[in-house]
Amino acid sequence: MALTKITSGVLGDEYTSSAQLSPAAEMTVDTSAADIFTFTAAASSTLNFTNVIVGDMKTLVIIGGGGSYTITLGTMNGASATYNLISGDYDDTSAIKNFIQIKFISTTEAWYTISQILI
Amino acid sequence: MKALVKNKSIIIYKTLPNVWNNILNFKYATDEVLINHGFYDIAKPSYNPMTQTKGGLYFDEANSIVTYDVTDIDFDQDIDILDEEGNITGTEKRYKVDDIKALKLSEIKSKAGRLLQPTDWQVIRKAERSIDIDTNIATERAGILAEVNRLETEVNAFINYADVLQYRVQFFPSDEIE
Repeated sequence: MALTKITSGVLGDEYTSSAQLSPAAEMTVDTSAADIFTFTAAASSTLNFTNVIVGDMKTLVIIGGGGSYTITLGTMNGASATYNLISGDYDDTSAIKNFIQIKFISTTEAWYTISQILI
Repeated sequence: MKALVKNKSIIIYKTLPNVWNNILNFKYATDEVLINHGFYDIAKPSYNPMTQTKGGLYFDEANSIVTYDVTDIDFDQDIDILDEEGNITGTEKRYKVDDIKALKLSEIKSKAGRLLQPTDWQVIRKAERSIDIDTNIATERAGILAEVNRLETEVNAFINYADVLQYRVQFFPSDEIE
């Protein structure tokens, strides 16, 4: 019988997993490892995305670290990249959970939105 | 307040943007990061608005700040004198010492008038009914008139326009200090 549906059971980790990242000044976000990446800001950090492929859609869930940490969207696959903010502001307040969705339209450019909830 | 220097233009930001390019929470970025993105502190130079003009913003690359150009006013500049047809017939000083002195002297008289006015009625009473002016009032009025003389002498002694311009007409300065 022909396979007519793709179920979640056959999808890779990049579509079905959530990864907890350790906050650091330089952080690697391996887009092949998970669909959702979470961490609590504890330093101003640069997120460098690896294994990016065109069309990827990833989610970052960042809990604010207290007000003064910055998050820099860094390289894609080791190269400099452009990130276009569609809407939203980042809030580093400690009781805030930032929900950032990033769509990689190429391996050098992505568009993203930011939303928040109060924990 | 910061200024963005980009392509030789300067844009003032009263508050930094929350997101700038690829940096989230940009307003809390370090000075090093801000400078890397073209954001510099704005230094407001002290200047005397009576004798100097504050020009436009410019980028002081050597000191990594955006600041204002301060220029001394040229009080010796000449201007052309034109006749009715617009022809130049000569030159004259744009800032005339005698003009500014006249203004200061007028200010002295005006202030003296206000100081004397509350006791003028005693002078009128003396003229109309020969009732003597109270001693303390007479002393007070004499003091004011002495101050007028002092101030007028000081103003008339100036030869420089800027000095007259900055001269503050102040009666009984020691009293005001107290």
